[in-house]
Amino acid sequence: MSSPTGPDGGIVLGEVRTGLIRHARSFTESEATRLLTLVHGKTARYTDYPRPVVISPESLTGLDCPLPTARGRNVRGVGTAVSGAVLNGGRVLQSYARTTLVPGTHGRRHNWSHYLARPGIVESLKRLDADDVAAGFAGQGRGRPGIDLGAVAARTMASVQASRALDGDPPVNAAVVSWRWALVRAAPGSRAPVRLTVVDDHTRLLLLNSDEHDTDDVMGLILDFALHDWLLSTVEDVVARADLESEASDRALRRLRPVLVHLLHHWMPAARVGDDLLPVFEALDRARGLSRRWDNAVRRIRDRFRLAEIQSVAAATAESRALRLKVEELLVRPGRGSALPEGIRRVGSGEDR
Amino acid sequence: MIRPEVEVEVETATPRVERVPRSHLSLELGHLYMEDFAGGPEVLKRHFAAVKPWHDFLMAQHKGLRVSTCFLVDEYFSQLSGPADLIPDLLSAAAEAGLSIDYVARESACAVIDQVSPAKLLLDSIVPVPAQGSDGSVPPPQYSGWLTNSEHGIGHRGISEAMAPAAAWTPPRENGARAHSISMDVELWDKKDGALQWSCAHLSAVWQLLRLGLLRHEGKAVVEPEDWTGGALPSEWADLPAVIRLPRPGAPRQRHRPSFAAYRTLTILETRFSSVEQAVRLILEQTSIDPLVAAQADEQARAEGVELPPETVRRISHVFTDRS
Repeated sequence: MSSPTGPDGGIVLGEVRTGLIRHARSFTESEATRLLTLVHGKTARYTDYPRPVVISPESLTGLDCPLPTARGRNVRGVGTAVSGAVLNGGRVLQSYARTTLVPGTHGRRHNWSHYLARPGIVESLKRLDADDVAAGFAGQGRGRPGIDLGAVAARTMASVQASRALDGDPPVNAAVVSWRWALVRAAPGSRAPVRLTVVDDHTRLLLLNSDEHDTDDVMGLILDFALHDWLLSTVEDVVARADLESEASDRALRRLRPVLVHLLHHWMPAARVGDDLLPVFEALDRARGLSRRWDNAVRRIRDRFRLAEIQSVAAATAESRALRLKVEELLVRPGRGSALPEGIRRVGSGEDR
Repeated sequence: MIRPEVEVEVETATPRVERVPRSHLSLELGHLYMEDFAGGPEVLKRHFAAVKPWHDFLMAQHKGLRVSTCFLVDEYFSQLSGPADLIPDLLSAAAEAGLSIDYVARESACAVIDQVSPAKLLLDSIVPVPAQGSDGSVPPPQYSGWLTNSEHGIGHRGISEAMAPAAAWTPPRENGARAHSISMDVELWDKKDGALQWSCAHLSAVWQLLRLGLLRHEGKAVVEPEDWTGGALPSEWADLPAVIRLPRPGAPRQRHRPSFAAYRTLTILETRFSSVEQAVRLILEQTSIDPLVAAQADEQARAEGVELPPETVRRISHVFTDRS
């Protein structure tokens, strides 16, 4: 569903939520397609390149409320938001809601069928100040609250997570991270600033200015970035909780193992981002230190396993050396008592019969 | 070396929808309840005689355009007689009035066609009109079989507490009302002996969408008319295809009949059906059409120079008339 944006100051608002599917193992392609067929008669779509993704059909939610604004203006908007879900690699679930704001024409609400013929578009009943609304939605210190796309995205995710196909037993405890974003059409040729605000562990705000990009492409960029941001946060969190510095090696490994098995291979930044938006992705990546922190976290995990491996080899070597000494001692002085070390039997002692 | 351009397309990555051929207008030649048929051929003759002048007027209006005529047999709620008895009567009564029916459909097909339920497809496409203040935080009302155009006051709910002091009554308010409200509640389905039963209004809304060619199940059109060449008709409705295409007297080839689906529909009805049709409009006003299907119809219309209103409900019209 591609949302057209008017040349006269259209804005796109959106929210993406990312979390782990509440299931012990990854979903296969056909299971995931069934799971994400959220609308009767519309099959979820699947693509496996560059990484496997299942995309649900989209739904609409009716809206009639004041628009968010940083300066506290009172502008009513009427229309619909589009929402849907995406399952990455049968494992990482994302839900989204978005709407494109355009200036209305009459200053009053039309019949509802008018809005349903323009899915994913909210028309403002008064003049629309793009920057003010974008800042009110995805800027720091929100002014007047308005369209709650987070609630729509949260409901979409909850409806998937409530499916009976899920066993409710995810291998890793992972938080849900939300990205609230606004895309403002900047004047052609103007420098396109991107403002990212990390509010807390669970919330990021992103303001994009762009003069040319297609809404679907920007949406793809944000889904991709949110996925990798979530992977990094989740892995860093597990590493922090695994207490890598402790000597109790088993416990750390037990905590790290699910990360190794279930999460690391999903990392493939910008895999679904087009060439023209790649610079935006890379700039965000640099600003968040995403790739560098990821490499570091992965190295720490692999090093910890390597260390455990060396330790266990060393321990096994030491054990076998001790055992050999014991056996040699018995062979040199046979007949001294019948007590042999556990696991060693005297040949022909008749114990087998 | 020239850099090769490679385009990879994964089949299921892009959704596809089947295209349906469309006439300019789908003209429905009236509607009768099953009981009306019990009145015998006289009732049918009177019916078509009343429809005929409107038909002629509309045909003159659409000169040179593709107009298909259709008739929906209401056998969902009761089945007094089978197709073998009813359809020949219907066709001869129409012929006597100088009308020809291109397509006969059965109403139960709006509920189920093979494994697909068009009624369920419609139900899942409904996006209820939001009350003022809906910002997305509260889920849309789970219509338990009902769809409304309004917000209802306390009085609406408090009926059960008959002896309680009267709560302040608040009037219903139509969502998006102009100055004053016209509130309507429409029942979409109920349960009869534990089985789901679709309402007449809901099935009629499906009927409109089928005629507009706007319903798809997993991308495929849900109804494909089947030819009936004049052979024996089955005695059971269940054995009759959802929509049959009838031979037009004197027309050499079946294939040249105008398509069942059309850009617009027009339905000639007696005034006793007006409330059902108002309910149909209320449902269609809150129905979202798959954007791919909508775009396809749009494109088809543009290619033929047909102007198509973007709102589904504006593509359907009615003539309400009573027998003179």
